[in-house]
Amino acid sequence: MSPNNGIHLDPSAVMQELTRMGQKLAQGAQVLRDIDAAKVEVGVTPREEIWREGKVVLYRFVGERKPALKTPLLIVYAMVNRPYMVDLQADRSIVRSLLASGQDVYLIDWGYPDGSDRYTTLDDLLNGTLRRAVEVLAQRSGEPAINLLGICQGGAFSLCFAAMHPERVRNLVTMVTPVDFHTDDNMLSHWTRKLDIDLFVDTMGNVPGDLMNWCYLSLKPWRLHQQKYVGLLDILDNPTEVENFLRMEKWIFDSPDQIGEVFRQFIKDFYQANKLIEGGLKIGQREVALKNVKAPILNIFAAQDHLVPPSASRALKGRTGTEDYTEVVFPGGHIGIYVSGRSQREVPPAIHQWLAARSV
Amino acid sequence: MGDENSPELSRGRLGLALHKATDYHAALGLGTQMDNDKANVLAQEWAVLQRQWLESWRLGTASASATAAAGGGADAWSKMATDPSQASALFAKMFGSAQSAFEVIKGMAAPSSPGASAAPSPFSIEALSEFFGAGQGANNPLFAALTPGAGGFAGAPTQWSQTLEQMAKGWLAGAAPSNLMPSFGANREAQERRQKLTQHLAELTRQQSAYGALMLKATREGLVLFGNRLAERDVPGQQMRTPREVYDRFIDDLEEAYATVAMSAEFQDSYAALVNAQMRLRAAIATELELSAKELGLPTRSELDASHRRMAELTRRLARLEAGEGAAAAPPLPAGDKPAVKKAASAKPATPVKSRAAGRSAKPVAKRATNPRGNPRAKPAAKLAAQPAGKVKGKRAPSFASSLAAARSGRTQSARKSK
Repeated sequence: MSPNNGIHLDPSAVMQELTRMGQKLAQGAQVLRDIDAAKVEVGVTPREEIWREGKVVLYRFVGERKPALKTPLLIVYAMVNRPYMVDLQADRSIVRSLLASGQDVYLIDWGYPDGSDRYTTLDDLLNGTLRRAVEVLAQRSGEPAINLLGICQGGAFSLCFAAMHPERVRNLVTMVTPVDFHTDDNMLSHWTRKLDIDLFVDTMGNVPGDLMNWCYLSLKPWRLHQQKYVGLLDILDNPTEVENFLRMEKWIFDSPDQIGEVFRQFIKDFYQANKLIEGGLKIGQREVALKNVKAPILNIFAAQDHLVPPSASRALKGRTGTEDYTEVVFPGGHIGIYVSGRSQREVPPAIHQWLAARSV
Repeated sequence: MGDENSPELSRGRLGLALHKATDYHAALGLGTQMDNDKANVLAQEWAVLQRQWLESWRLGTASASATAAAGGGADAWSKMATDPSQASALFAKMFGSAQSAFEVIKGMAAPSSPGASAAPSPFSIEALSEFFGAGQGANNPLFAALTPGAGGFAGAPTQWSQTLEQMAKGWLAGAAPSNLMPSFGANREAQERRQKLTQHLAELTRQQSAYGALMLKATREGLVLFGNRLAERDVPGQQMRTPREVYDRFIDDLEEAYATVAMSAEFQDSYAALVNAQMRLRAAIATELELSAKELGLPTRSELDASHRRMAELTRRLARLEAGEGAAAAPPLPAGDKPAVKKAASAKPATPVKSRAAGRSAKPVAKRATNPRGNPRAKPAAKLAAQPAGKVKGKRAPSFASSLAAARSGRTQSARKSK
């Protein structure tokens, strides 16, 4: 116990705060009533489906101008969330900015796996589906190798792909990508280290998206479970801000189930055994050695990322076979790097300029 | 600390009793610090404000419950917040959190004894611990998720869980030794399964208790940290002056203490033991349910799994057979740029093709596809896999592939359609 002398509440300040809260609540009730949730859209940029395999769809985004670069840029997103985070809304869209700068942007959408996908493996996804999608793009563009933009878990997938199929990757951009899963500040990894993953997957089959979400929320339970919603008071009288908030909420809780066998290997080999940097990682019959990644790498990560700590991403430096390695540290968190105003101004231009100097 | 006559409110004198507007005067603990006229004016303003909010909310929701809420103050609001049918989920979530926030501050600032003066009273960790239900880890979402009957056991019938709970209680109390005796006779297998199931539940209960203890520890250490930080700020100009400032500080300190506990080896062990215990119990329950389903002639999870496994294997095998076609249309690799790993029989990498394929890249995929023999009418493997079976005449394998693809694409409609 300690004496609690640091609180000296000012009655007028208290009254102002209560008044403000009351006003926000009153106006917020009307704002919420007026918002048509069905019209709070996500994924705003027009796109066309160009290839499909099972539930996986390859999309091409359609910009207002023709691509200035011939080399396609394929976004490989994580499987644990939906990829529309890169195209959340008109003024918060990495995709839109990249299109505007002249990139030819594609995205592989992993879809919502169900029980019939339970036995799909990482080998099926990376050496099968992703490889075929890349070949489709290579064929479309006439270029033997394409540019990859891997995000979060998708970044780890992209690294593996680039190591196994270096001939198909011209340039590799990794965003908030875990490479070293055993850094001291990685809470998620710390928790998974002693889980019996075989028991877990054998019992659960696919891993429910809701369970994954609970796990993420429990990384910062006080902030994410409570303080965030208290903070909502600050914007409750602003319809635009409330709509932005609702989009984020939708994205956060729109979580596909995780394919059982993919989850098994990802947790065991990446989180538990840290094989991506320790060595010994095999996907199917192929060994994954980061030294086989020959493509130039742009590694972007967030300084305040609590899901993928910067130290986990920085570990990529010096571990690949490329001599063209660039790091960009963004001042923000795991999500802010996609949607903050600053990220919109800084991240897409950085990606475009780096790629433009290395693409045709 | 503020002067006795200062308008500032000491920690021990704030009570934001939102539920009693007319008690605003007392709720804020202003009695000895402000003149009565000023306090009365504020109290009236507060009452007016609350009526306005409630009226606005009533109009906003246009529900009978909101009308009722108008007469009930924050308690009624709170009721709305916990009943999704009475308010939007978002508002409920927000208001529930906001109310908790103010309750926290109220708890921190409440006088330690009736009639307490401006002198600070000891910071009560116990009171706050009680508020948070820390012993049960009430505010840790994962704890709730991993508790039987909650999210982690969403699939378990409640009645079944209750039965198990009763069994486990008996086992834990040592009151049911027969439950652990060797079993024999026609019912031997069933009895043995139930015994294991009971043990799994008891183990889960133990692990939940251990996990809850760590949650309690994290919360207690957070409260101590908060108290220490407050003491550090007992310097003129550094004191917190608004409830929100106090609340944010409070959350930061709880989060910091939680992170320390969550990164400990003890937590790692406890977390793993808890999840593993839940999985063992869940698997045992699934076994019992499967047996019941079999008796009723219903398909079981194991049977579905077997089918899905076989489908995955066949899809894989087919993809390997068709790999040559899929790769044939891609442009050639640059000279000297060979794959860094050896080709594996089971996962053949892309085959370089003749350079003429590269020059026709602007056309749609299907029109440019060629098979290994250069037949421009042939379609790439993926295209075949995605087509309805009837469209590929005389090709048994592609038809099968398309069947598999169709069977496995149940939720593709959820993918956003092109604009």
